[in-house]
Amino acid sequence: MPAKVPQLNPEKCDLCGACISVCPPDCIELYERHLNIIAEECTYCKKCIIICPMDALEENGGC
Amino acid sequence: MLWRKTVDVSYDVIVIGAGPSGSTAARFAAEGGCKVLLVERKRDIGIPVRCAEGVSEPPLKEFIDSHPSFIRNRISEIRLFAPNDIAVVLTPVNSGYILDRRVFDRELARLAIVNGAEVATSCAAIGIKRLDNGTVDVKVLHRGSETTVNCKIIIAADGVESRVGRWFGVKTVTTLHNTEGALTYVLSHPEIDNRYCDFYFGTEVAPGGYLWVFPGGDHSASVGIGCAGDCLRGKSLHEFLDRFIQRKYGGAKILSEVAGGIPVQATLKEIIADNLMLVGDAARQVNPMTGAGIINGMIAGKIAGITASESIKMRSWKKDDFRDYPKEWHQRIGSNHEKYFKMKEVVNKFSDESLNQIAETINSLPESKRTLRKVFMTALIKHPLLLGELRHLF
Repeated sequence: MPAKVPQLNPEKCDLCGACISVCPPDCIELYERHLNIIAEECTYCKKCIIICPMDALEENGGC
Repeated sequence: MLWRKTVDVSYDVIVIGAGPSGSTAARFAAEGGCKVLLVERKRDIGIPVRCAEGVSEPPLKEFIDSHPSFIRNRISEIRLFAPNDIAVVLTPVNSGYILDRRVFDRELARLAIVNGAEVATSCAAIGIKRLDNGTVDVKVLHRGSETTVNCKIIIAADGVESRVGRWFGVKTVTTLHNTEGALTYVLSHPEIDNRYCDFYFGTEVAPGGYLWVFPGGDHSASVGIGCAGDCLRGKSLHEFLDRFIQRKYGGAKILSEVAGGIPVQATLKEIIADNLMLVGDAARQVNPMTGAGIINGMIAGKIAGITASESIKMRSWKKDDFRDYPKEWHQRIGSNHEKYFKMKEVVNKFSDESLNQIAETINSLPESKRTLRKVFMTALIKHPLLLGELRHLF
Protein backbone atom coordinates (compact mmCIF):
# COMPACT_ATOMS: atom_id res chain seq x y z
CA MET A 1 0.00 0.00 0.00
CA PRO A 2 1.41 3.40 -0.93
CA ALA A 3 2.17 5.89 1.79
CA LYS A 4 -0.30 8.47 0.48
CA VAL A 5 -3.58 8.81 -1.35
CA PRO A 6 -5.14 12.10 -2.52
CA GLN A 7 -7.35 13.74 0.07
CA LEU A 8 -10.98 14.05 -1.00
CA ASN A 9 -13.14 16.89 0.22
CA PRO A 10 -16.64 15.42 -0.23
CA GLU A 11 -18.24 18.85 0.26
CA LYS A 12 -16.46 20.16 -2.84
CA CYS A 13 -16.78 17.00 -4.97
CA ASP A 14 -19.46 17.26 -7.69
CA LEU A 15 -19.33 13.51 -8.52
CA CYS A 16 -18.46 14.32 -12.15
CA GLY A 17 -15.99 11.46 -12.54
CA ALA A 18 -13.30 13.37 -14.48
CA CYS A 19 -10.79 11.85 -12.02
CA ILE A 20 -11.85 8.30 -12.95
CA SER A 21 -11.13 8.86 -16.64
CA VAL A 22 -7.46 9.75 -15.99
CA CYS A 23 -6.82 7.25 -13.15
CA PRO A 24 -4.29 4.71 -14.50
CA PRO A 25 -4.91 1.95 -11.90
CA ASP A 26 -8.72 2.44 -12.02
CA CYS A 27 -8.90 2.83 -8.27
CA ILE A 28 -11.72 5.40 -7.98
CA GLU A 29 -15.29 4.24 -7.47
CA LEU A 30 -18.33 6.43 -8.08
CA TYR A 31 -21.62 5.67 -6.36
CA GLU A 32 -24.94 7.51 -6.41
CA ARG A 33 -23.89 9.90 -3.68
CA HIS A 34 -20.21 9.41 -2.99
CA LEU A 35 -16.76 8.86 -4.44
CA ASN A 36 -14.29 6.36 -3.03
CA ILE A 37 -10.56 6.01 -3.61
CA ILE A 38 -9.32 2.45 -3.13
CA ALA A 39 -6.20 3.21 -1.10
CA GLU A 40 -4.57 -0.20 -1.67
CA GLU A 41 -4.52 0.33 -5.45
CA CYS A 42 -3.64 4.05 -5.61
CA THR A 43 -0.17 4.86 -6.96
CA TYR A 44 -0.43 8.54 -5.92
CA CYS A 45 0.26 9.75 -9.48
CA LYS A 46 -1.79 12.88 -8.67
CA LYS A 47 -3.51 13.03 -12.08
CA CYS A 48 -6.91 13.11 -10.38
CA ILE A 49 -5.78 16.11 -8.33
CA ILE A 50 -4.73 17.97 -11.49
CA ILE A 51 -7.90 17.26 -13.51
CA CYS A 52 -10.48 17.84 -10.74
CA PRO A 53 -12.58 20.84 -11.89
CA MET A 54 -13.84 21.48 -8.36
CA ASP A 55 -10.45 21.35 -6.60
CA ALA A 56 -11.99 18.67 -4.41
CA LEU A 57 -8.89 16.48 -4.44
CA GLU A 58 -5.80 17.73 -2.69
CA GLU A 59 -2.29 16.55 -2.09
CA ASN A 60 -1.89 14.57 1.05
CA GLY A 61 0.33 16.43 3.47
CA GLY A 62 0.61 13.51 5.88
CA CYS A 63 2.92 10.55 5.52
CA MET B 1 -47.07 -6.64 -2.78
CA LEU B 2 -45.03 -3.73 -3.98
CA TRP B 3 -46.25 -2.28 -7.26
CA ARG B 4 -42.80 -0.75 -7.73
CA LYS B 5 -41.14 -3.41 -9.84
CA THR B 6 -37.62 -4.56 -9.08
CA VAL B 7 -35.41 -5.73 -11.92
CA ASP B 8 -35.76 -9.20 -13.44
CA VAL B 9 -33.06 -11.86 -13.12
CA SER B 10 -32.03 -11.81 -16.76
CA TYR B 11 -32.11 -9.71 -19.93
CA ASP B 12 -30.75 -9.89 -23.46
CA VAL B 13 -29.11 -6.47 -23.16
CA ILE B 14 -28.20 -4.29 -20.21
CA VAL B 15 -27.39 -0.68 -21.07
CA ILE B 16 -25.36 1.07 -18.38
CA GLY B 17 -26.00 4.81 -18.23
CA ALA B 18 -29.17 6.69 -19.26
CA GLY B 19 -27.64 9.68 -21.03
CA PRO B 20 -28.41 10.33 -24.71
CA SER B 21 -26.11 7.48 -25.89
CA GLY B 22 -27.46 4.88 -23.48
CA SER B 23 -31.15 5.74 -23.91
CA THR B 24 -30.76 5.69 -27.69
CA ALA B 25 -28.96 2.33 -27.56
CA ALA B 26 -31.69 0.92 -25.31
CA ARG B 27 -34.40 2.25 -27.60
CA PHE B 28 -33.02 0.65 -30.76
CA ALA B 29 -32.09 -2.64 -29.08
CA ALA B 30 -35.65 -2.87 -27.69
CA GLU B 31 -37.14 -1.89 -31.02
CA GLY B 32 -35.16 -4.78 -32.55
CA GLY B 33 -36.94 -7.19 -30.21
CA CYS B 34 -34.43 -7.52 -27.34
CA LYS B 35 -35.36 -7.65 -23.69
CA VAL B 36 -33.53 -4.55 -22.46
CA LEU B 37 -32.72 -3.08 -19.06
CA LEU B 38 -31.41 0.50 -18.94
CA VAL B 39 -29.72 1.29 -15.62
CA GLU B 40 -28.86 4.76 -14.33
CA ARG B 41 -26.64 5.33 -11.31
CA LYS B 42 -28.36 8.57 -10.34
CA ARG B 43 -31.83 9.05 -8.93
CA ASP B 44 -32.91 11.26 -11.81
CA ILE B 45 -32.29 10.97 -15.52
CA GLY B 46 -30.89 14.20 -16.99
CA ILE B 47 -29.94 15.74 -13.64
CA PRO B 48 -27.53 17.33 -12.96
CA VAL B 49 -26.89 18.77 -16.41
CA ARG B 50 -23.18 18.08 -17.02
CA CYS B 51 -23.17 19.77 -20.40
CA ALA B 52 -23.20 23.05 -22.31
CA GLU B 53 -26.35 21.77 -24.07
CA GLY B 54 -25.53 22.90 -27.62
CA VAL B 55 -26.40 20.67 -30.60
CA SER B 56 -26.49 21.05 -34.34
CA GLU B 57 -30.07 21.08 -35.64
CA PRO B 58 -30.18 18.75 -38.71
CA PRO B 59 -28.75 15.51 -37.22
CA LEU B 60 -31.18 15.63 -34.30
CA LYS B 61 -34.08 14.90 -36.67
CA GLU B 62 -32.86 11.33 -37.13
CA PHE B 63 -33.78 10.64 -33.51
CA ILE B 64 -36.47 12.96 -32.25
CA ASP B 65 -38.85 15.67 -33.42
CA SER B 66 -37.81 18.98 -31.96
CA HIS B 67 -40.20 20.11 -29.27
CA PRO B 68 -40.30 23.43 -27.38
CA SER B 69 -40.21 21.56 -24.06
CA PHE B 70 -36.53 20.74 -24.53
CA ILE B 71 -35.37 23.47 -26.91
CA ARG B 72 -34.51 26.62 -25.06
CA ASN B 73 -32.99 28.64 -27.86
CA ARG B 74 -32.11 28.53 -31.53
CA ILE B 75 -28.75 29.86 -32.67
CA SER B 76 -27.81 30.78 -36.21
CA GLU B 77 -24.62 32.77 -35.59
CA ILE B 78 -21.50 32.25 -33.55
CA ARG B 79 -18.78 34.63 -32.41
CA LEU B 80 -15.16 33.64 -31.90
CA PHE B 81 -13.22 35.98 -29.61
CA ALA B 82 -9.46 36.28 -30.03
CA PRO B 83 -7.34 36.84 -26.89
CA ASN B 84 -7.44 40.63 -27.49
CA ASP B 85 -11.27 40.41 -27.50
CA ILE B 86 -11.67 41.06 -31.23
CA ALA B 87 -14.77 39.16 -32.32
CA VAL B 88 -15.16 37.19 -35.53
CA VAL B 89 -18.82 36.63 -36.41
CA LEU B 90 -19.50 33.45 -38.36
CA THR B 91 -22.63 31.90 -39.80
CA PRO B 92 -22.22 28.13 -39.50
CA VAL B 93 -23.60 25.90 -42.25
CA ASN B 94 -26.11 24.43 -39.78
CA SER B 95 -28.03 26.33 -37.16
CA GLY B 96 -28.03 24.94 -33.65
CA TYR B 97 -30.20 24.47 -30.61
CA ILE B 98 -29.55 25.08 -26.96
CA LEU B 99 -31.28 22.17 -25.26
CA ASP B 100 -32.77 21.72 -21.85
CA ARG B 101 -31.12 18.39 -21.11
CA ARG B 102 -33.22 17.80 -18.01
CA VAL B 103 -36.21 17.40 -20.33
CA PHE B 104 -34.33 16.08 -23.36
CA ASP B 105 -32.61 13.18 -21.57
CA ARG B 106 -35.82 12.14 -19.90
CA GLU B 107 -37.64 12.21 -23.23
CA LEU B 108 -34.98 9.95 -24.79
CA ALA B 109 -35.38 7.50 -21.89
CA ARG B 110 -39.14 7.63 -22.39
CA LEU B 111 -38.66 6.71 -26.06
CA ALA B 112 -36.63 3.69 -24.90
CA ILE B 113 -39.51 2.69 -22.60
CA VAL B 114 -42.08 3.19 -25.35
CA ASN B 115 -40.10 0.73 -27.46
CA GLY B 116 -40.12 -1.83 -24.66
CA ALA B 117 -37.02 -1.20 -22.54
CA GLU B 118 -37.14 -1.29 -18.75
CA VAL B 119 -35.46 1.47 -16.78
CA ALA B 120 -33.96 1.35 -13.28
CA THR B 121 -32.68 4.53 -11.65
CA SER B 122 -30.55 4.69 -8.48
CA CYS B 123 -28.99 1.58 -9.98
CA ALA B 124 -25.18 1.56 -10.19
CA ALA B 125 -23.30 -1.23 -11.95
CA ILE B 126 -20.45 -2.16 -9.59
CA GLY B 127 -18.92 -5.26 -11.17
CA ILE B 128 -19.21 -7.97 -13.82
CA LYS B 129 -18.48 -11.65 -14.06
CA ARG B 130 -18.31 -13.66 -17.27
CA LEU B 131 -19.99 -17.07 -16.96
CA ASP B 132 -18.98 -20.33 -18.67
CA ASN B 133 -22.20 -20.29 -20.70
CA GLY B 134 -21.08 -17.13 -22.50
CA THR B 135 -23.34 -14.71 -20.62
CA VAL B 136 -22.42 -12.05 -18.06
CA ASP B 137 -23.54 -11.44 -14.50
CA VAL B 138 -23.72 -7.74 -13.66
CA LYS B 139 -23.59 -6.81 -10.01
CA VAL B 140 -25.68 -3.70 -9.34
CA LEU B 141 -26.38 -1.56 -6.33
CA HIS B 142 -30.08 -0.83 -6.75
CA ARG B 143 -31.59 1.60 -4.23
CA GLY B 144 -28.86 0.61 -1.80
CA SER B 145 -29.22 -3.18 -2.14
CA GLU B 146 -26.76 -5.38 -3.99
CA THR B 147 -28.23 -7.72 -6.58
CA THR B 148 -27.07 -9.66 -9.65
CA VAL B 149 -28.64 -9.43 -13.10
CA ASN B 150 -27.67 -11.68 -15.98
CA CYS B 151 -27.39 -10.61 -19.62
CA LYS B 152 -25.86 -11.56 -22.94
CA ILE B 153 -24.72 -8.12 -24.06
CA ILE B 154 -23.69 -5.03 -22.14
CA ILE B 155 -23.78 -1.64 -23.83
CA ALA B 156 -21.58 0.60 -21.70
CA ALA B 157 -22.80 4.21 -21.92
CA ASP B 158 -21.39 5.16 -18.55
CA GLY B 159 -19.83 8.42 -19.60
CA VAL B 160 -16.39 9.94 -19.24
CA GLU B 161 -16.17 8.20 -15.85
CA SER B 162 -16.65 4.78 -17.51
CA ARG B 163 -15.23 1.79 -15.70
CA VAL B 164 -17.20 -0.95 -17.44
CA GLY B 165 -14.75 -1.17 -20.36
CA ARG B 166 -11.86 -1.64 -17.96
CA TRP B 167 -13.66 -4.53 -16.27
CA PHE B 168 -13.62 -6.23 -19.68
CA GLY B 169 -9.94 -5.44 -20.26
CA VAL B 170 -10.55 -2.51 -22.66
CA LYS B 171 -8.08 0.32 -22.06
CA THR B 172 -10.33 3.36 -21.69
CA VAL B 173 -8.00 5.46 -19.50
CA THR B 174 -7.36 8.94 -20.93
CA THR B 175 -4.21 11.04 -20.66
CA LEU B 176 -4.24 14.45 -19.00
CA HIS B 177 -3.41 15.95 -22.40
CA ASN B 178 -6.52 14.39 -23.95
CA THR B 179 -8.89 15.09 -21.07
CA GLU B 180 -10.40 18.48 -20.38
CA GLY B 181 -11.49 19.50 -16.94
CA ALA B 182 -14.66 21.55 -17.37
CA LEU B 183 -16.69 23.85 -15.19
CA THR B 184 -20.00 25.50 -16.07
CA TYR B 185 -22.11 28.13 -14.40
CA VAL B 186 -25.62 28.99 -15.43
CA LEU B 187 -25.67 32.79 -15.25
CA SER B 188 -28.34 35.41 -15.42
CA HIS B 189 -27.27 38.81 -16.72
CA PRO B 190 -29.13 41.44 -18.79
CA GLU B 191 -26.24 41.81 -21.25
CA ILE B 192 -26.20 38.18 -22.34
CA ASP B 193 -26.96 38.31 -26.06
CA ASN B 194 -29.52 35.62 -26.89
CA ARG B 195 -28.54 35.55 -30.58
CA TYR B 196 -24.99 34.23 -30.40
CA CYS B 197 -23.02 31.29 -29.13
CA ASP B 198 -19.71 32.81 -28.07
CA PHE B 199 -16.31 31.13 -27.89
CA TYR B 200 -13.28 32.74 -26.22
CA PHE B 201 -9.70 31.66 -26.81
CA GLY B 202 -6.31 32.47 -25.34
CA THR B 203 -3.82 31.40 -22.72
CA GLU B 204 -5.18 33.92 -20.21
CA VAL B 205 -8.79 32.89 -20.82
CA ALA B 206 -8.72 29.11 -21.24
CA PRO B 207 -5.30 27.46 -21.68
CA GLY B 208 -5.50 24.30 -23.81
CA GLY B 209 -9.20 24.73 -24.52
CA TYR B 210 -11.84 27.43 -24.73
CA LEU B 211 -14.46 29.27 -22.78
CA TRP B 212 -18.06 29.37 -23.99
CA VAL B 213 -21.22 31.41 -23.48
CA PHE B 214 -24.31 29.54 -24.73
CA PRO B 215 -27.46 31.64 -24.23
CA GLY B 216 -30.67 29.96 -23.11
CA GLY B 217 -32.83 32.64 -24.73
CA ASP B 218 -33.91 34.38 -21.56
CA HIS B 219 -30.74 36.39 -20.77
CA SER B 220 -29.40 33.41 -18.93
CA ALA B 221 -26.51 31.40 -20.32
CA SER B 222 -24.38 28.38 -19.73
CA VAL B 223 -20.96 29.96 -19.24
CA GLY B 224 -18.28 27.35 -19.07
CA ILE B 225 -14.64 26.55 -19.51
CA GLY B 226 -12.81 23.42 -20.60
CA CYS B 227 -9.03 23.15 -20.36
CA ALA B 228 -6.69 20.28 -21.15
CA GLY B 229 -5.51 18.56 -17.98
CA ASP B 230 -1.84 19.11 -18.79
CA CYS B 231 -2.46 22.88 -18.90
CA LEU B 232 -4.15 22.86 -15.51
CA ARG B 233 -1.30 22.01 -13.15
CA GLY B 234 -1.60 24.32 -10.16
CA LYS B 235 -4.37 26.33 -11.83
CA SER B 236 -8.00 26.57 -10.87
CA LEU B 237 -10.87 26.56 -13.37
CA HIS B 238 -12.89 28.61 -10.89
CA GLU B 239 -10.30 31.40 -11.07
CA PHE B 240 -10.40 31.54 -14.89
CA LEU B 241 -14.18 31.47 -15.02
CA ASP B 242 -14.68 33.98 -12.21
CA ARG B 243 -12.17 36.39 -13.76
CA PHE B 244 -13.94 36.18 -17.14
CA ILE B 245 -17.39 36.73 -15.66
CA GLN B 246 -16.20 39.70 -13.63
CA ARG B 247 -14.76 41.24 -16.82
CA LYS B 248 -17.71 40.54 -19.16
CA TYR B 249 -20.77 40.08 -16.98
CA GLY B 250 -20.00 41.83 -13.71
CA GLY B 251 -22.70 41.38 -11.08
CA ALA B 252 -24.13 38.29 -12.82
CA LYS B 253 -26.10 35.92 -10.63
CA ILE B 254 -25.13 32.25 -10.62
CA LEU B 255 -28.08 29.86 -10.85
CA SER B 256 -26.08 26.64 -10.88
CA GLU B 257 -22.55 25.27 -10.99
CA VAL B 258 -21.57 21.93 -12.50
CA ALA B 259 -18.23 20.21 -13.13
CA GLY B 260 -17.32 17.63 -15.74
CA GLY B 261 -14.62 15.87 -17.69
CA ILE B 262 -14.45 15.84 -21.50
CA PRO B 263 -12.41 13.25 -23.41
CA VAL B 264 -10.79 15.03 -26.38
CA GLN B 265 -9.17 12.34 -28.47
CA ALA B 266 -10.04 10.11 -31.42
CA THR B 267 -12.35 7.16 -30.70
CA LEU B 268 -10.79 4.31 -28.70
CA LYS B 269 -9.11 1.70 -30.89
CA GLU B 270 -11.29 -1.03 -29.39
CA ILE B 271 -14.94 -0.22 -28.66
CA ILE B 272 -16.13 -3.83 -28.70
CA ALA B 273 -15.24 -7.01 -26.81
CA ASP B 274 -17.01 -10.31 -26.17
CA ASN B 275 -20.42 -9.37 -24.63
CA LEU B 276 -19.57 -5.66 -24.78
CA MET B 277 -20.02 -2.50 -26.83
CA LEU B 278 -18.90 0.92 -25.58
CA VAL B 279 -20.80 4.02 -26.72
CA GLY B 280 -20.64 7.80 -26.25
CA ASP B 281 -18.18 9.47 -23.89
CA ALA B 282 -17.26 6.00 -22.56
CA ALA B 283 -15.96 5.11 -26.05
CA ARG B 284 -14.35 8.59 -26.32
CA GLN B 285 -16.67 9.51 -29.21
CA VAL B 286 -16.68 13.24 -28.45
CA ASN B 287 -15.58 15.60 -31.22
CA PRO B 288 -12.03 16.31 -29.97
CA MET B 289 -11.98 19.79 -31.50
CA THR B 290 -15.26 21.11 -30.13
CA GLY B 291 -15.97 18.79 -27.20
CA ALA B 292 -19.44 18.07 -28.64
CA GLY B 293 -20.76 14.65 -27.69
CA ILE B 294 -24.57 14.48 -27.62
CA ILE B 295 -25.35 13.67 -31.26
CA ASN B 296 -22.21 11.55 -31.64
CA GLY B 297 -23.27 9.43 -28.69
CA MET B 298 -26.79 9.05 -30.07
CA ILE B 299 -25.49 7.95 -33.47
CA ALA B 300 -23.20 5.40 -31.79
CA GLY B 301 -26.04 4.28 -29.51
CA LYS B 302 -28.34 3.67 -32.45
CA ILE B 303 -25.76 1.61 -34.36
CA ALA B 304 -24.80 -0.36 -31.22
CA GLY B 305 -28.47 -0.97 -30.31
CA ILE B 306 -29.27 -2.31 -33.77
CA THR B 307 -26.07 -4.40 -33.80
CA ALA B 308 -27.04 -5.87 -30.41
CA SER B 309 -30.52 -6.84 -31.60
CA GLU B 310 -29.10 -8.51 -34.69
CA SER B 311 -26.58 -10.44 -32.66
CA ILE B 312 -29.31 -11.61 -30.26
CA LYS B 313 -31.30 -12.85 -33.26
CA MET B 314 -28.22 -14.77 -34.44
CA ARG B 315 -27.75 -16.15 -30.90
CA SER B 316 -24.09 -15.12 -30.73
CA TRP B 317 -22.54 -12.20 -28.86
CA LYS B 318 -18.81 -12.50 -29.32
CA LYS B 319 -16.62 -9.58 -30.31
CA ASP B 320 -16.73 -10.68 -33.96
CA ASP B 321 -20.52 -10.46 -33.93
CA PHE B 322 -20.31 -6.73 -33.20
CA ARG B 323 -17.93 -5.71 -36.04
CA ASP B 324 -20.64 -3.76 -37.88
CA TYR B 325 -20.80 -1.26 -35.04
CA PRO B 326 -17.21 0.12 -35.13
CA LYS B 327 -17.21 -0.14 -38.93
CA GLU B 328 -20.32 1.98 -39.35
CA TRP B 329 -19.27 4.38 -36.60
CA HIS B 330 -15.95 5.08 -38.32
CA GLN B 331 -17.62 5.56 -41.67
CA ARG B 332 -20.17 8.02 -40.33
CA ILE B 333 -18.18 9.94 -37.69
CA GLY B 334 -15.05 8.29 -36.32
CA SER B 335 -12.71 8.95 -39.23
CA ASN B 336 -13.62 12.66 -39.11
CA HIS B 337 -12.72 12.74 -35.44
CA GLU B 338 -9.21 11.64 -36.34
CA LYS B 339 -8.92 14.80 -38.45
CA TYR B 340 -10.47 16.96 -35.74
CA PHE B 341 -7.98 15.55 -33.26
CA LYS B 342 -5.05 16.67 -35.41
CA MET B 343 -6.73 20.06 -35.81
CA LYS B 344 -7.09 20.41 -32.05
CA GLU B 345 -3.41 19.63 -31.57
CA VAL B 346 -2.47 22.38 -34.03
CA VAL B 347 -4.91 25.03 -32.83
CA ASN B 348 -3.89 24.57 -29.20
CA LYS B 349 -0.32 25.46 -30.22
CA PHE B 350 -1.31 28.86 -31.62
CA SER B 351 0.11 31.72 -29.58
CA ASP B 352 -2.18 34.52 -28.43
CA GLU B 353 -0.44 36.83 -30.89
CA SER B 354 -1.16 34.46 -33.81
CA LEU B 355 -4.80 34.13 -32.80
CA ASN B 356 -5.15 37.93 -32.71
CA GLN B 357 -3.63 38.23 -36.19
CA ILE B 358 -5.85 35.49 -37.58
CA ALA B 359 -8.96 37.25 -36.21
CA GLU B 360 -7.95 40.53 -37.86
CA THR B 361 -7.29 38.86 -41.18
CA ILE B 362 -10.64 37.09 -41.17
CA ASN B 363 -12.48 40.26 -40.30
CA SER B 364 -10.99 41.91 -43.37
CA LEU B 365 -12.82 39.35 -45.52
CA PRO B 366 -16.44 39.91 -46.61
CA GLU B 367 -18.86 38.21 -44.24
CA SER B 368 -19.96 35.64 -46.80
CA LYS B 369 -16.42 34.30 -46.97
CA ARG B 370 -16.00 33.93 -43.23
CA THR B 371 -16.32 30.22 -42.63
CA LEU B 372 -14.62 27.92 -40.15
CA ARG B 373 -12.68 26.48 -43.04
CA LYS B 374 -11.49 29.98 -43.92
CA VAL B 375 -10.35 30.48 -40.34
CA PHE B 376 -8.03 27.53 -40.66
CA MET B 377 -6.90 28.40 -44.15
CA THR B 378 -5.98 31.88 -42.95
CA ALA B 379 -4.10 30.40 -40.04
CA LEU B 380 -2.26 28.23 -42.49
CA ILE B 381 -1.22 31.11 -44.73
CA LYS B 382 -0.16 33.20 -41.74
CA HIS B 383 1.82 30.36 -40.26
CA PRO B 384 3.54 28.40 -42.99
CA LEU B 385 5.37 26.31 -40.42
CA LEU B 386 2.05 24.70 -39.51
CA LEU B 387 1.52 23.75 -43.14
CA GLY B 388 3.01 20.31 -42.70
CA GLU B 389 0.55 19.46 -39.96
CA LEU B 390 -2.49 21.12 -41.43
CA ARG B 391 -2.41 20.23 -45.10
CA HIS B 392 -3.88 16.76 -44.72
CA LEU B 393 -6.87 18.03 -42.80
CA PHE B 394 -8.85 19.19 -45.80
